[in-house]
Amino acid sequence: MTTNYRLLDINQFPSYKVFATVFTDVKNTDEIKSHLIKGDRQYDFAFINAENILSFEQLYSALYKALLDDTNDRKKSKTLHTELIFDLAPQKNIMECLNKFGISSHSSNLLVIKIIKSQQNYITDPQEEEKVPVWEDVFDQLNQNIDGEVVSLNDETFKNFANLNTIKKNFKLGNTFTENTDKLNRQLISVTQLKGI
Amino acid sequence: MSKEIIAAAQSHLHGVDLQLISQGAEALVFKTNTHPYLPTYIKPSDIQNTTNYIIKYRPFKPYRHPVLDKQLTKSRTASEAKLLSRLYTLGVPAPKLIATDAPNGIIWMECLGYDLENNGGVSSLKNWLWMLEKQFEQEQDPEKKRHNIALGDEVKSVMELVGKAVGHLHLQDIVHGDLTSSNIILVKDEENNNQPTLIDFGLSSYSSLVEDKSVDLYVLERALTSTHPMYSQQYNDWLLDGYEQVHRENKAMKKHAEIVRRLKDVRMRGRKRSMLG
Repeated sequence: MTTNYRLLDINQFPSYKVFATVFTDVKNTDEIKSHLIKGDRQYDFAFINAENILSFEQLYSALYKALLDDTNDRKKSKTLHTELIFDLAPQKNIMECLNKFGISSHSSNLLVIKIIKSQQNYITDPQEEEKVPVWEDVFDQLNQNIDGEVVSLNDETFKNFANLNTIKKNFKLGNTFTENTDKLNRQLISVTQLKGI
Repeated sequence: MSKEIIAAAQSHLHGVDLQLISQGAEALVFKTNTHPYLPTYIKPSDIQNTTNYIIKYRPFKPYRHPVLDKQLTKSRTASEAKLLSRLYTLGVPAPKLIATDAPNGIIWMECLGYDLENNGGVSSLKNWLWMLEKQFEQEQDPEKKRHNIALGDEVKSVMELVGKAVGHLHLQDIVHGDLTSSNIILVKDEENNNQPTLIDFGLSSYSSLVEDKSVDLYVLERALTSTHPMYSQQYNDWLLDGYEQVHRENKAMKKHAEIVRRLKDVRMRGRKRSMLG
């Protein structure tokens, strides 16, 4: 397995497969966004502005929330990918969440996620196997469409790309903002866990 | 009955090990080794105990109308989770929020406390005081017997800290609603000192009323009287000292005077103001 991407597991939701990768110095964000708006199948991913993400834990927290709401049939947006972005953000308006936390003209560091739900739970059906994509191919395709450089995904990557000013502004933290990233991280996780309840 | 409830909890928690640690009228509390969403190699930030977590589960109440039950479960779970998050930003010691599944009545939070020596149980204020009281009673050495460990300096400082914790909460216009010595957990700080932390905010609410704050203090006072009858007077005096201190530090002595004055009234009449119910 290469380090170009990672596959994440959420213990409680074994029927979902999550693919994650990060690109830096992305130059064609507007192009990606226009494909995304057109609903191009090749762009069926969650494109997240990495400036808003402080840690792996924060990403996992939002994945959990999105999968939980999908399981409970309580998704607020159309797809799992938009739901993930929506759950990262504190705003109630979905468009506002997508603009601030998704892809935009000035987001050059992109976290890219793909979530796949297999129809049958826990049972490995040979026919199911075919529906699960070859992740290597998924990555290659993505890599062709993104004019940027792939970096390996770990907690350090998140820390490097996170922008505390953007976080303070987008999460509307005001005087509850703290430079202590451990404490800040917990606040961001709470925002996700309390989203929409 | 209990078995069915645990099975219901398990059905919402796929692959999570559950160890029942307490069951009340409102909710069940489980301990687990599983984090709701993190793989074991990622440690959650600002959480001391990363091997155990607490799951609070509000089960379906068959005596309620199903629609009403859903609403109540969801709103109570949500408000408790929101409060935990608010206490964290305020810097009031309380369990930290890890995950919420409000429609199913589930909150995941930090697991606090440690196990007391000689099978004394979890380090709740109640168990800790009981342990010290028992130690003193069983003490044979006349030299040591001269000083009662259950009324020693450490107990004094812990009780003052409890008073401060309650005071902090009240200064933010939050009332706990169910203060007892088992809803106070001792946590070891960096210097290995016992720091009390309030837990179980299931009955908490926002209130700026003097009455509600006095009742909070009264409920705790009564809980101490019934669980530690020999020493409750002294414990409560220390506690109120701490409560006063924190009001003085925050220049809220006027509020403090009102609450203490009302506490005397509450003692005379009990916690229910109206004669109904």
